[in-house]
Amino acid sequence: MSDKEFDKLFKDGFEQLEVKPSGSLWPLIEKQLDTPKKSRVLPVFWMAAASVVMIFVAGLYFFRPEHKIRLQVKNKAETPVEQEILNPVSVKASEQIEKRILVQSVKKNPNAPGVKKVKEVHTDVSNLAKEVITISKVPVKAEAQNAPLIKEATLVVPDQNNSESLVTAMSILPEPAISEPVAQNKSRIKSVGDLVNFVVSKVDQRQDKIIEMSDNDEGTHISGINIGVLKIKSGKNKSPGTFKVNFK
Amino acid sequence: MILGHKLTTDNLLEGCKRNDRKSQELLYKSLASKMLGVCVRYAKDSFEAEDILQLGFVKVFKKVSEFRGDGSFEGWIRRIMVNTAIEAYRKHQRSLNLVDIDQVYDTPQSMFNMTGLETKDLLNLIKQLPGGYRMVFNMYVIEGYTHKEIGEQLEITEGASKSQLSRARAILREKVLKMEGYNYATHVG
Repeated sequence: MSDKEFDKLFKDGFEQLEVKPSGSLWPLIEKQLDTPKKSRVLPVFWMAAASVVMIFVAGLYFFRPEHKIRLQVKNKAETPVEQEILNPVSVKASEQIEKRILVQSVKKNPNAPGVKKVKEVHTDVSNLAKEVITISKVPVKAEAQNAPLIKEATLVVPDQNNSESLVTAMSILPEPAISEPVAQNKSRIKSVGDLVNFVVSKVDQRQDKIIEMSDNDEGTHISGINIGVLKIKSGKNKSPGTFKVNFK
Repeated sequence: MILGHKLTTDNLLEGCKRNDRKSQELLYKSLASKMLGVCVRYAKDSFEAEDILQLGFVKVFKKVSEFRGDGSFEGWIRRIMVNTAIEAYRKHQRSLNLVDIDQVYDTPQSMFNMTGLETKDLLNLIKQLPGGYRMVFNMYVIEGYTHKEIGEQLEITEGASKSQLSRARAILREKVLKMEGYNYATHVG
């Protein structure tokens, strides 16, 4: 039998070969058509994004202010007045107190930390007493409910010329947007390793992260690396650790 | 009958190009058995064969817009299956798994040819070939690739393809003879 004849034997046999799939593969195919293929390689974009986030978080962690800026005013005489501003009940209370607020916080202590910005001030106390002093109560109340500290209290004083005198007393509060996450992170992230793990876990969804760090008595060290081809992971119980090279 | 079949395949092609799920399912159902018949020749076992089939069909549906209509749609799908099988083999080869598992497939149809060997038997013979030989034999003899093409696809030299083909033939010849002798013996005695 020549090669050609021999080949024909197989060719003829196989050309019409049909094999019925054992299970139903269609649902699996349909599923793959619905979900876009996941790329196995961690995209460069995400790597870049991860490093930016990491630097940012590290910056927040290391360079956060050592002392929080407090609302407390050095001048003791000022303090009760400040508290009165903060208290929603006394805001409603009397015109006299309102006048005192203006006078004290603006006139006496224009540079006190409790009063940062003064746009335009009426210094004439007697004039002020006659005029209707409107205090924007709503925002004060709303903020007072949330926290005992008020960020900003705006007093609008219409004067004779109908132009508005705006007195803005702005207190520097510890910025909640920055200080709170730091405080949160602080409770969970105790070391640089934890920080790295935290950032990596946000970016790398795999079980074995691209880099894993852990702490022991000697300090922080890298406990696992997974760059697809190369997987190194030291177990918590096993001392030698596993070393796996994956050529898939 | 043949014309009717061709017509429906063409209708399905249009549906698949529109990414219509029903057309895709019908196309899969009408060609699954035939294409698995291609996959089983390349795969080391039935699990791998079904994997290739699945991957191949996903590729078909994702790339159907690239089909320009030179040649038949079915032929195009068959080529995708073969290419998927080659890719699977190359991946497989990299993991250095050279063990061939001979597994008997239950083929729904048993076909006889001149020598009295069933396709199932031929398939088993092919399965017993070392992976590389099986690839070259399938590609050259059944699919009609040239040695040059095989060399490119499998990342071997043209000469290696030729020598693997002739060795594959030699192994198969020997086995066919044995089987024919066995068949003959069982039929007579």
